[in-house]
This record gives sequence, structure tokens and C-alpha cells, in this order.
Amino acid sequence: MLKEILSYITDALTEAGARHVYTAFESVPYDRRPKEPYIVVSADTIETSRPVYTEYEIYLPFTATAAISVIAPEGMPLCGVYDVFDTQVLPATERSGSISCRLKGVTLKYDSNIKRTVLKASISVTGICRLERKSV
Amino acid sequence: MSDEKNCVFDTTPREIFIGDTALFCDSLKLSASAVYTEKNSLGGKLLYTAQETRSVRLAAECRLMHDNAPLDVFARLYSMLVSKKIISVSYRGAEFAGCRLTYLEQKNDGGPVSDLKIEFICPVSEITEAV
Repeated sequence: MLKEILSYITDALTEAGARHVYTAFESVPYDRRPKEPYIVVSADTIETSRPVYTEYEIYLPFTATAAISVIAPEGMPLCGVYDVFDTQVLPATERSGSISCRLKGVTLKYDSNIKRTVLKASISVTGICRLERKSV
Repeated sequence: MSDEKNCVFDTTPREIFIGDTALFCDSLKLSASAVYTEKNSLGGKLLYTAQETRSVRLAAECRLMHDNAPLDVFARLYSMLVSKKIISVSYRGAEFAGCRLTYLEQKNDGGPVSDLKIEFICPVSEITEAV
């Protein structure tokens, strides 16, 4: 389910024009990632609520907090990071298909582990996941 | 503790059958009541002169998932309500044979899930339980 949620967001980012989008499930080493701004989509929290049953399927409502991080290459001016956020991340949250997204907040900080400036947008994601019933 | 599975109960909602309509029931509340007529004797003693039993009331709460036709179930139940049809309701082995639908409420907050409340009355003599 988590993979599907992140996949919806990466698809929306790609449609919005983002060229380099990774999810937390992709283990591409940082040194092999592009030398231009790239985006990493991960999930901070996920919570499901009471499922709705039908004869053959179970519908599982969920709420998740996704993190969309714009990672800037060394030496990139901050205006470039904000430009990626404004032209690619924000439009993606408006066109994420059957899940509903809402921007909760944005933080900008220097990540000393990867030695890059990271603009992290927290997105509240709500939707309903359909599962097949194993036995009826 | 010969079998650990004895400790596990299936908590998935079960179907409630309302005539030929089956819905998954999140909760079912049964209530029964009686009305006593009270009189005071000349000596000031309280006397009950009559007792009337009311029907058993059933209040079921369900949630419906609908991509299309969100009013389909409501319309079917509403036709039972306006026609004053006597219907059979069953839930987890209990049969309520002579039910009359008295109340319907569907609430939708804009998404594909609706909350549905249904109330029936049923004479006590029409209730049976499978053993």
C-alpha cells in the first residue's frame, strides 16, 4: 500500500515535469544520483482507519504524511530550489489522481549527511485502498 | 489451552439481510420497552393497572462504498418504507420476521463512503434465533 501511495506521488511529479524522482524504496547511491536537483518521495507516517466491507472487497481508508524532498546540488542558489518546488512539487500535489493531497508545511535545511541543501515539503495524503477479500 | 486459535475471534462485520438486500453491518442495537399505567389507591399505595409491551426496536448502522449510484440502496429501502412492507431481517443467525421499516438516514461527506442508519420495529413473537 505504501509503495502505491508513493507511486501516485512520483507519477504526479513526473507529469508536472520533474525529471529525476526517486522513492524511499529505491536504493540508488547518492553519489550516482544526478548533479542537478532531484526529488525523493518518502512517507513519514501512515494510518489506516476502519475498513468498509463489501461482498468481494475491503476498502481501507488511509491518511499518510508524505515527504517530498527537493535535493539541490552543491553550489545551487536557493532560488533554483524554490523554483523546482514551485513549478514541479506544488502542481503535483494538485493532480495526484484518486488520492487527495494537502500541503502541510515546508522546511529548508542543510543535510550534513549528504552535504546538500534539502527543501522538504510535508504533504498530507488521504485516500481509500481497495483490497480483495481472501475468503467470502 | 490446547488450541491457540480458540482465543481468536473473527471481528469482521457480518451481513445484515433486509429482505433481499444484504449490507455489512457495523453495529446493531436492539431495544425493548414496556409502558405501565400507574394509579394510586385510596390508601396512597401505588398500583400498576395495565402493562403494554412495545415492539422491539432494531437500529442498524452500516457503511456503503459506492463509485456510482450512491442512492441505490437508499431508494430500495425507501420503497420498503413507503409501501409499509413487512420484511424479514436476519443478522448472525437471529431472524426478525415481521419487521417494519420506520427510519432511514444516509449521510455522505462527499467521498465514496456513506453512513446509513436503518431502524425497524419487530414484535417480540417474531424473533427467533438459530441454535
